[in-house]
Order: sequence, then structure tokens, then C-alpha cells
Amino acid sequence: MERKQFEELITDYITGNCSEQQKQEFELFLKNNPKAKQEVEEMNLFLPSFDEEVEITSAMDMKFYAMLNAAEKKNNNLSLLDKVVNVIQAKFTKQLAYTFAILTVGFFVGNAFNPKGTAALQTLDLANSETENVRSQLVLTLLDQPSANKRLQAVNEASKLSSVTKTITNALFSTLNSDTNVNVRLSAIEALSNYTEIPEVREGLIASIIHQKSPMVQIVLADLMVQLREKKAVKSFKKLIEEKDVNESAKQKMQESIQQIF
Amino acid sequence: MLKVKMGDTFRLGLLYERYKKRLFGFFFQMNRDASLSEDLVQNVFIRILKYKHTYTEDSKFVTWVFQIARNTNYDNYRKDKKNRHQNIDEIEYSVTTSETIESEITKDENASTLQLALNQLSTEKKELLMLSKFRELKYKEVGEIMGCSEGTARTKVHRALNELKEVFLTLEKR
Repeated sequence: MERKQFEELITDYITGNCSEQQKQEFELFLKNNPKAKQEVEEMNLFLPSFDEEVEITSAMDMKFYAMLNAAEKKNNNLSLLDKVVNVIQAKFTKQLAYTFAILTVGFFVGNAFNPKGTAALQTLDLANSETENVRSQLVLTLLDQPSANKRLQAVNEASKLSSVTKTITNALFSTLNSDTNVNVRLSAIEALSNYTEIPEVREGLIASIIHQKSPMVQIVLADLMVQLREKKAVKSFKKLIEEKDVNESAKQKMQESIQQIF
Repeated sequence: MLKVKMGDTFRLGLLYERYKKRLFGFFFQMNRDASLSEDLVQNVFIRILKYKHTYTEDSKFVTWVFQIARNTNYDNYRKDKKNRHQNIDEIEYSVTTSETIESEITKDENASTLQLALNQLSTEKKELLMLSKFRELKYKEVGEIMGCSEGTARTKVHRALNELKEVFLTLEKR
């Protein structure tokens, strides 16, 4: 074995870098060469010893475990925080999902139940109903006015109402039966003719026939009854025809109407 | 170590028990200051916790831990170099209280001569010899720690050992 190779082998041997086979061969060589063996032992002394006479103090262990505990605590705190964050996030996501689901369901259900149920339409409906209310109030107020013109305006307003209350129809009948102005009474008939689908309105109209003195009103009512094919009115017309002070033209018109109704 | 990386911090205690002596020995050989060496061991484990995410299965833990140890020692050396000018009194005090060369000589002349010889070597050579002492570190791992190839590590260790021997013999002749 060459010197250089031998020296390198010593290094490999004492630093544990020999394979098992190399180690056995080298140890066999050393057995036969005491001088070489001594050299290896000497060389081994040069590798710095780690088993120093200086002992590690317990302070190092204490410091380390204190540090480890602190790190563990921090780690636990962090994971707890993470857990809380996760829970909140999960909750929030759930809430968001629920909200969205409810919104979607609400949207479709709302659409199904109310095809024009958009906010704008609802607002429009509300505005319309408010207008109707105001109009009703206006009708009632104007009908009490002494001026025939105002009362006429009231009846015209009443005919613009899409739906009537009993108060309005009562006020209109009162106008029809007792208003001094013919034009106002005629307008009242016109207004009431819009609500003939209401049985009370029909009956009211029939009942008012007998109270009418003006031939104009009698003729308009006769026309209306023909339109409505109201047989109940015939009795009233017949009664009027028999009366002496009733206009002849009106009588004739009522006669014709009776025939038309039948 | 992988369990430590996964968050099982308490497993670090096992690693500490397994490596504390070797790390302490490494640092003590480098700076001959027991108290400082203990602090540096502590620093190594603080760094392990801090950089645990950088550890991969590909490298051996011992290789990784000694890479950290080398860096810790190097950082301390740089810091110490700065402080040396600032706090002379403290330095003098620490020198007189630590195991002085004189007392070592009275204990074991050979050991102290060896220590003197070792102190005359460069930091890198000291490190190489230190790491080679561990049976579990082969040239490959030493190379990884020192940042060189396996072959270079072998040559360097061999040279360092021979240089130590030469210095020792020179000192002994005096």
C-alpha cells in the first residue's frame, strides 16, 4: 500500500467513511502491521473530542423547554384563532348561501304570485289608490256645494272612479233623486251607469224612475233600462205613463222602452 | 422532524435530546465558551422552529441541523466581532473566568496542546474535523453541510487532519 493511499485510508477509517469490506480489509492489514496500527490510533486522537469535560448545564434544558412551551402555546393559540376564523368563515359562507337561496326562492315565488309585482308597479298601485281616495273625498265634498257647476264637476269626477264605495253611490243617488239641476241629475245617471253590475245600483236606478219629474231624465233612464234589459223597471215606467203631468214625448219614449225591454 | 414541520412542536424535544450534546460539543470546540455554546444550541432550535417549513424529506435531519449550526456560529462570530470593540471589560472578564489555557495545561498537557493546535486552524478546517467526528456523517453529508462535493469534502477532511497533526507536533517540540 502506498503511503498517500494509506494516509487517506486512515482518514476514511477514523471518520467512519469505509465500507464494511474496506473496514475489514484495513483492520486485517493493521493486525499484521503494529506500526501502522499505532499510527492510526495516534491519528484518531487528533479528531476533536466531543465528550468534553465541560458538562451541559440544566439551565440549557430549562431554557430550551421554556422556549418550546412558549412556541407550543403560540402554536395552539394560532390554531385556535385559525379554528375561530374557519368557523366564522364557514358560518359566513353558510349564511351567504342561505341568504342567496332565500332570495332566489323569494324572487321566483314572488314572480309566480304577482306577475306585475315589481316595486315600481306596487308604487304605482299605491299612488293610484291614493288618487282614488282623494277623488272620492272630492266627489263627496263637491256634491254638497250649492253651485250646480261644482256638483256637475263632482259627478264627472265620480264617473272617473274605477271602483266605488257605498258612500259614493249613496251620494250619487241622493243627487239623482233630489238635485235641483237637471244636468247634474243626468250626469249622475251617467256616472251610475258605469256601476250597473252592482245589484244595489241597479235597484237604486229602478227606484229613482218614479221620482223623476224631468222628461230628459225620464228619457235617459228609459234608454238605460233598455240597455240593461231591466224588466223590474217596467212597473215604474207604466206608473209614470199613467200620470197626467208627465211629458208626452217622455211617455212615448217610455212606452217604446217597455216594448224594447220585452 | 417532519412531524415538527406539520405542527407537532413538542416532537422537537426528542430532537433536542438527541442532538444537544453534539451541537454543544460542536459550538464548544469552535468558541471554547460553555455559556455561549449553550446559547447557540438554543439559537439552533429557535431557528429550526422558525425555518421548519424549509425542511424537506430529501435531506437528512443531521445535515440540515448542522447547516443551521454553522450559520448560527457564523452569525455569532460576526456579532461578536462587532461587540468586541464595544465591551472590552466584559470580554476580559469572560476570558479570565472561562477555562483558560493555563488550567488546561495543568489538567492534561496533551489535550491542551491539541486544543491549541486546533485553535490555530481555520474555522472551516475546525468545522470539517468536528463534523467528521460524527460517525453518522459521511463525506457526502459533510460536503452538503459545507457546501462542496463528496470528493472535495474527503480531500479537505484529510488535509485538515494532517494540518492539525503537523501543528500539534510543532507545538509539542517547543
